[in-house]
Amino acid sequence: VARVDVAVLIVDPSIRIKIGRKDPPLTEDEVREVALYAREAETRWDDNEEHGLRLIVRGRTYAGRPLIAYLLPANLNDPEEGTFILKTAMAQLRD
Amino acid sequence: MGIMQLMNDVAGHADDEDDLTWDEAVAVFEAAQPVDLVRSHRQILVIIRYADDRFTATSPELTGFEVSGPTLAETRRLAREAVTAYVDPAVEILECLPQSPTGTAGASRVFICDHASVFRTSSQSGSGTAFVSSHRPRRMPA
Repeated sequence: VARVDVAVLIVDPSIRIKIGRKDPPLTEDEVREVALYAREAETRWDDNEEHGLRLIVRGRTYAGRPLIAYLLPANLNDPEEGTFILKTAMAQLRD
Repeated sequence: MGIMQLMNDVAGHADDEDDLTWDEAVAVFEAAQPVDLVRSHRQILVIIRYADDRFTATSPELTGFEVSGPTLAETRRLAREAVTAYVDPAVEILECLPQSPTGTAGASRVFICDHASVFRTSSQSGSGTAFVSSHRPRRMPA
Protein backbone atom coordinates (compact mmCIF):
# COMPACT_ATOMS: atom_id res chain seq x y z
CA VAL A 1 0.00 0.00 0.00
CA ALA A 2 1.39 3.41 -0.98
CA ARG A 3 2.16 5.72 1.94
CA VAL A 4 3.08 9.35 2.22
CA ASP A 5 4.07 11.69 5.03
CA VAL A 6 3.58 15.45 4.77
CA ALA A 7 6.43 16.46 7.04
CA VAL A 8 7.27 19.89 5.63
CA LEU A 9 4.91 22.26 3.85
CA ILE A 10 6.38 25.23 1.99
CA VAL A 11 4.01 28.10 1.26
CA ASP A 12 5.01 30.84 -1.14
CA PRO A 13 3.69 34.32 -0.23
CA SER A 14 1.85 34.49 -3.58
CA ILE A 15 -0.07 31.34 -2.68
CA ARG A 16 -0.80 32.68 0.80
CA ILE A 17 -2.36 35.74 -0.83
CA LYS A 18 -4.20 33.62 -3.40
CA ILE A 19 -5.94 31.39 -0.87
CA GLY A 20 -6.70 34.41 1.32
CA ARG A 21 -8.63 35.98 -1.55
CA LYS A 22 -10.75 32.92 -2.24
CA ASP A 23 -14.39 32.69 -1.34
CA PRO A 24 -14.42 31.61 1.38
CA PRO A 25 -10.90 32.77 2.29
CA LEU A 26 -8.38 30.36 3.75
CA THR A 27 -5.23 30.90 5.75
CA GLU A 28 -1.90 29.16 5.48
CA ASP A 29 -2.29 28.08 9.12
CA GLU A 30 -5.57 26.30 8.37
CA VAL A 31 -3.94 24.37 5.54
CA ARG A 32 -1.04 23.42 7.81
CA GLU A 33 -3.46 22.18 10.48
CA VAL A 34 -4.98 19.72 8.08
CA ALA A 35 -1.86 18.74 6.14
CA LEU A 36 0.49 18.38 9.10
CA TYR A 37 -1.57 17.55 12.17
CA ALA A 38 -5.14 16.44 11.56
CA ARG A 39 -5.98 12.89 12.57
CA GLU A 40 -8.76 12.52 10.02
CA ALA A 41 -6.98 13.91 6.94
CA GLU A 42 -7.07 11.86 3.73
CA THR A 43 -4.54 11.96 0.91
CA ARG A 44 -4.61 10.97 -2.77
CA TRP A 45 -2.15 11.23 -5.66
CA ASP A 46 -3.39 12.98 -8.78
CA ASP A 47 -1.18 12.70 -11.86
CA ASN A 48 -2.57 15.51 -13.96
CA GLU A 49 -1.52 16.08 -17.58
CA GLU A 50 -1.50 19.83 -17.16
CA HIS A 51 -0.34 20.21 -13.57
CA GLY A 52 1.82 17.13 -13.04
CA LEU A 53 1.92 14.93 -9.96
CA ARG A 54 0.06 16.43 -7.02
CA LEU A 55 -0.86 15.22 -3.58
CA ILE A 56 -4.41 16.17 -2.67
CA VAL A 57 -5.21 16.47 1.03
CA ARG A 58 -8.77 16.58 2.30
CA GLY A 59 -9.71 17.18 5.90
CA ARG A 60 -11.21 19.55 8.43
CA THR A 61 -9.53 22.35 10.28
CA TYR A 62 -9.64 22.37 14.07
CA ALA A 63 -12.60 24.75 13.80
CA GLY A 64 -14.38 22.24 11.56
CA ARG A 65 -13.98 23.83 8.13
CA PRO A 66 -13.69 21.22 5.36
CA LEU A 67 -10.80 22.01 3.03
CA ILE A 68 -8.92 20.49 0.12
CA ALA A 69 -5.28 21.35 -0.57
CA TYR A 70 -3.16 20.61 -3.63
CA LEU A 71 0.51 20.00 -2.85
CA LEU A 72 3.43 19.53 -5.20
CA PRO A 73 6.19 17.16 -4.08
CA ALA A 74 9.39 19.20 -3.68
CA ASN A 75 11.54 16.26 -4.73
CA LEU A 76 10.16 14.88 -7.98
CA ASN A 77 12.66 12.04 -7.88
CA ASP A 78 11.24 10.95 -4.52
CA PRO A 79 7.68 12.29 -4.21
CA GLU A 80 7.13 10.53 -0.88
CA GLU A 81 10.19 12.13 0.74
CA GLY A 82 7.94 14.39 2.82
CA THR A 83 8.55 17.94 1.63
CA PHE A 84 5.71 19.56 -0.28
CA ILE A 85 4.91 22.95 -1.79
CA LEU A 86 1.37 24.30 -1.45
CA LYS A 87 -0.12 24.89 -4.89
CA THR A 88 -3.61 25.91 -3.89
CA ALA A 89 -6.37 25.15 -1.42
CA MET A 90 -10.06 25.73 -1.08
CA ALA A 91 -12.63 25.52 1.69
CA GLN A 92 -16.22 24.43 1.49
CA LEU A 93 -18.76 27.20 1.61
CA ARG A 94 -20.90 27.11 4.71
CA ASP A 95 -24.44 25.90 4.17
CA MET B 1 13.92 20.38 -11.27
CA GLY B 2 15.27 21.97 -8.08
CA ILE B 3 13.12 23.18 -5.23
CA MET B 4 13.81 26.86 -6.00
CA GLN B 5 12.76 26.35 -9.59
CA LEU B 6 9.60 24.62 -8.38
CA MET B 7 8.88 27.50 -6.01
CA ASN B 8 9.37 30.03 -8.79
CA ASP B 9 7.08 27.99 -11.00
CA VAL B 10 4.39 27.85 -8.30
CA ALA B 11 4.71 31.58 -7.60
CA GLY B 12 4.63 32.42 -11.31
CA HIS B 13 1.40 30.55 -11.86
CA ALA B 14 -0.35 31.36 -8.62
CA ASP B 15 -3.21 33.16 -10.31
CA ASP B 16 -3.99 31.00 -13.29
CA GLU B 17 -4.44 27.43 -12.11
CA ASP B 18 -6.71 25.29 -10.03
CA ASP B 19 -9.50 27.76 -9.59
CA LEU B 20 -11.88 24.92 -8.95
CA THR B 21 -15.16 25.06 -7.16
CA TRP B 22 -15.51 22.94 -4.06
CA ASP B 23 -17.56 20.33 -5.92
CA GLU B 24 -14.98 20.15 -8.71
CA ALA B 25 -12.18 19.76 -6.19
CA VAL B 26 -14.07 16.95 -4.46
CA ALA B 27 -14.58 15.21 -7.81
CA VAL B 28 -10.85 15.43 -8.59
CA PHE B 29 -10.06 14.08 -5.13
CA GLU B 30 -12.49 11.18 -5.51
CA ALA B 31 -10.99 10.24 -8.87
CA ALA B 32 -7.39 10.33 -7.62
CA GLN B 33 -5.31 7.42 -6.32
CA PRO B 34 -5.72 6.79 -2.57
CA VAL B 35 -2.52 6.82 -0.52
CA ASP B 36 -2.10 6.19 3.20
CA LEU B 37 -1.11 9.28 5.16
CA VAL B 38 1.43 8.30 7.79
CA ARG B 39 2.84 10.96 10.07
CA SER B 40 6.36 11.12 11.38
CA HIS B 41 6.95 12.49 14.86
CA ARG B 42 6.15 16.17 15.21
CA GLN B 43 5.22 18.58 17.95
CA ILE B 44 2.44 21.02 18.65
CA LEU B 45 2.61 23.78 21.24
CA VAL B 46 -0.13 24.52 23.75
CA ILE B 47 0.36 27.74 25.70
CA ILE B 48 -1.51 28.22 28.96
CA ARG B 49 -1.92 31.73 30.30
CA TYR B 50 -3.43 33.03 33.50
CA ALA B 51 -5.60 36.14 33.54
CA ASP B 52 -8.55 37.33 35.58
CA ASP B 53 -8.52 34.26 37.81
CA ARG B 54 -8.83 31.86 34.88
CA PHE B 55 -6.42 29.75 32.91
CA THR B 56 -6.70 29.77 29.12
CA ALA B 57 -4.98 27.42 26.69
CA THR B 58 -4.30 28.32 23.06
CA SER B 59 -2.07 26.90 20.36
CA PRO B 60 -0.28 28.77 17.57
CA GLU B 61 -0.74 25.69 15.39
CA LEU B 62 -4.52 25.40 15.76
CA THR B 63 -6.65 28.28 14.57
CA GLY B 64 -9.52 28.90 16.93
CA PHE B 65 -8.32 26.56 19.65
CA GLU B 66 -9.03 28.05 23.06
CA VAL B 67 -10.14 26.35 26.24
CA SER B 68 -10.42 27.83 29.70
CA GLY B 69 -10.66 26.42 33.17
CA PRO B 70 -10.69 27.53 36.79
CA THR B 71 -7.49 25.65 37.66
CA LEU B 72 -4.29 24.86 35.85
CA ALA B 73 -4.87 21.12 36.17
CA GLU B 74 -8.39 21.34 34.78
CA THR B 75 -7.30 23.58 31.91
CA ARG B 76 -4.45 21.21 31.04
CA ARG B 77 -6.84 18.28 31.07
CA LEU B 78 -9.39 20.04 28.86
CA ALA B 79 -6.69 21.23 26.46
CA ARG B 80 -5.16 17.76 26.16
CA GLU B 81 -8.57 16.24 25.51
CA ALA B 82 -9.43 18.80 22.82
CA VAL B 83 -6.07 18.67 21.06
CA THR B 84 -5.76 14.89 21.26
CA ALA B 85 -9.18 14.48 19.66
CA TYR B 86 -8.03 16.48 16.64
CA VAL B 87 -4.37 15.71 16.05
CA ASP B 88 -2.75 12.55 14.76
CA PRO B 89 -1.38 10.13 17.40
CA ALA B 90 2.16 10.86 16.13
CA VAL B 91 1.88 14.46 17.26
CA GLU B 92 3.52 15.24 20.58
CA ILE B 93 1.89 17.97 22.64
CA LEU B 94 4.21 20.47 24.29
CA GLU B 95 2.55 22.41 27.07
CA CYS B 96 3.90 25.82 27.96
CA LEU B 97 2.73 26.66 31.46
CA PRO B 98 2.49 29.95 33.37
CA GLN B 99 4.16 30.70 36.65
CA SER B 100 2.15 29.92 39.75
CA PRO B 101 -0.57 32.53 39.89
CA THR B 102 -0.01 34.43 43.09
CA GLY B 103 -0.69 38.02 43.92
CA THR B 104 -3.65 40.28 43.90
CA ALA B 105 -6.90 38.49 43.25
CA GLY B 106 -8.54 39.59 40.05
CA ALA B 107 -5.45 41.27 38.70
CA SER B 108 -4.88 40.58 35.03
CA ARG B 109 -1.60 38.75 34.55
CA VAL B 110 -0.29 37.17 31.42
CA PHE B 111 2.80 35.04 31.22
CA ILE B 112 4.72 33.72 28.33
CA CYS B 113 7.45 31.14 28.37
CA ASP B 114 10.54 31.25 26.22
CA HIS B 115 11.97 27.87 27.09
CA ALA B 116 9.82 27.82 30.16
CA SER B 117 7.92 25.13 31.96
CA VAL B 118 7.38 22.84 29.05
CA PHE B 119 5.65 19.53 29.51
CA ARG B 120 5.70 16.88 26.85
CA THR B 121 2.52 14.91 26.42
CA SER B 122 1.89 12.22 23.89
CA SER B 123 -1.38 12.57 22.05
CA GLN B 124 -1.42 8.80 21.82
CA SER B 125 -1.42 8.10 25.55
CA GLY B 126 -2.95 11.37 26.64
CA SER B 127 -0.76 11.46 29.71
CA GLY B 128 2.79 11.62 30.89
CA THR B 129 5.35 14.29 31.48
CA ALA B 130 8.97 14.14 30.53
CA PHE B 131 10.66 17.20 31.96
CA VAL B 132 10.31 20.68 33.27
CA SER B 133 13.09 22.94 32.12
CA SER B 134 15.00 25.12 34.52
CA HIS B 135 14.21 28.27 32.58
CA ARG B 136 11.71 30.63 34.12
CA PRO B 137 8.75 32.10 32.28
CA ARG B 138 9.02 35.74 31.30
CA ARG B 139 6.22 37.93 32.55
CA MET B 140 4.57 40.04 29.88
CA PRO B 141 4.04 43.71 30.63
CA ALA B 142 0.45 44.61 31.48
